[in-house]
Amino acid sequence: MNKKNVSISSVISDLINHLNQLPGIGPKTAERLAFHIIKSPENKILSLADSLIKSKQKLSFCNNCFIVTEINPCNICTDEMRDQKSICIVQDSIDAYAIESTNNYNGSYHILNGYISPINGIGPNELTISSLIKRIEKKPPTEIILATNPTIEGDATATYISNQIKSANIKISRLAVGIPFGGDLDYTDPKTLTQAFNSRQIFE
Amino acid sequence: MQKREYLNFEGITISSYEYGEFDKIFNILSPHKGIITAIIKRIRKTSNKNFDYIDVFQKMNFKASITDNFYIIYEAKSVETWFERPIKLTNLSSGNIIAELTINFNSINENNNYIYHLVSKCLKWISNDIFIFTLVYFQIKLLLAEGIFPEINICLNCNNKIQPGDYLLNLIESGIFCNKCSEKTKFSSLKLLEQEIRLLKHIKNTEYDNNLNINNIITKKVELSLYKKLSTYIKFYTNKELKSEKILFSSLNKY
Repeated sequence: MNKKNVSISSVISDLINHLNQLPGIGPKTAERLAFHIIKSPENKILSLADSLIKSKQKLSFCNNCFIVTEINPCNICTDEMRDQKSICIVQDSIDAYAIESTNNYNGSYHILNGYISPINGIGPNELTISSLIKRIEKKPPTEIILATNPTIEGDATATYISNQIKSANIKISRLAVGIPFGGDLDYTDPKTLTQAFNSRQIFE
Repeated sequence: MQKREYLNFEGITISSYEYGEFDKIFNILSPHKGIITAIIKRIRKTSNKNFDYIDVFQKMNFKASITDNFYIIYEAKSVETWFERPIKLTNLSSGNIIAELTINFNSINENNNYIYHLVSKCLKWISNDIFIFTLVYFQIKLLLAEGIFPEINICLNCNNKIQPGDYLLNLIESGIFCNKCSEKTKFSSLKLLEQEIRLLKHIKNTEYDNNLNINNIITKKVELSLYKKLSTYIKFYTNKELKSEKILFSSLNKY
């Protein structure tokens, strides 16, 4: 906490400190948000506070897929119209929401709640991988889609899971990596371009 | 208005973390300035003509602007990538141990260039699936570079030459006590076996090149036990646990 905040008010500095602890919020943004909150009408702020409290009281993780949900098991796991034989593995609930927003996938999910990151002390045991394996053993799916991020750690997580379930005779796929829609070849880095070339498809 | 400096340098990305909504901060090992902590803006959102694909364990040419010792990378071009996909957990956790040790021992001194080439070499060996030998090699060369390699040729107490055999390594005094003097080093000691001392001496006196061939030099069991003992020795000096270590050992059991 810098001196400027301390000299203003301990209430404001407390608020800034709390906001600063949120992911993606640096000290400057925290300051800006704090002063925005102070200047906002009381009913708006009370409504925000109410949402924060409700999110902690009413939301939990689905016992089956670990997505953030109000009911347990979640709507996705109990939806009979969805293909429960397909499991898409993602790092966080937010990734499942991103896939849901495409309206293109109608299977189920498994949320890992993170990715393997040895340098941060996060190994397979810190994720929901053992629950995934139990889930597969109990009700074998026909396809597992590995949708972890295409970073070195996301890839190591996908490889680890793939090795764990390989013997179960399940189709295992990985999200494709390539040029985004509207992207420019000239702006694409060589590694992505190589991957896009290697994963090219028949043009129909 | 602060004066802005510009710097072109080659470096190895050894760790990274997400920052803000779109940015990433990288710890980059450079040959002349040790570890540089630098931000790359919007790297998680857009592709940019100035950037090749960037992740940890890559050797790249960087262009950065510097304000108040804060580095902002505005161009990064790939020189060498070690870990091809798909990457195994054993490779990642071994690379992370190299990264953690490098960060724990980071200092701006004349050894930076040596450490830089050592890290580069060791990452290449790890990418070739040579794990524990590489880590032992890295530990020993790092201890030598930092000037805290233990005395293993003469007894610290009586100065007599150490003959082949098992001996106690005293952590506080950083050296071996002969069997006659071992009563004086009961505390803070590790037992080093004859084969482990032989491996220590061998690596201390050998500089392997990039194309490592270590067939039949030592057994995996000796490598692993020496690694664990050197790890205890290093922890004694740095007072830091290696987070990646536990994950490496669990992955070695799996594969």
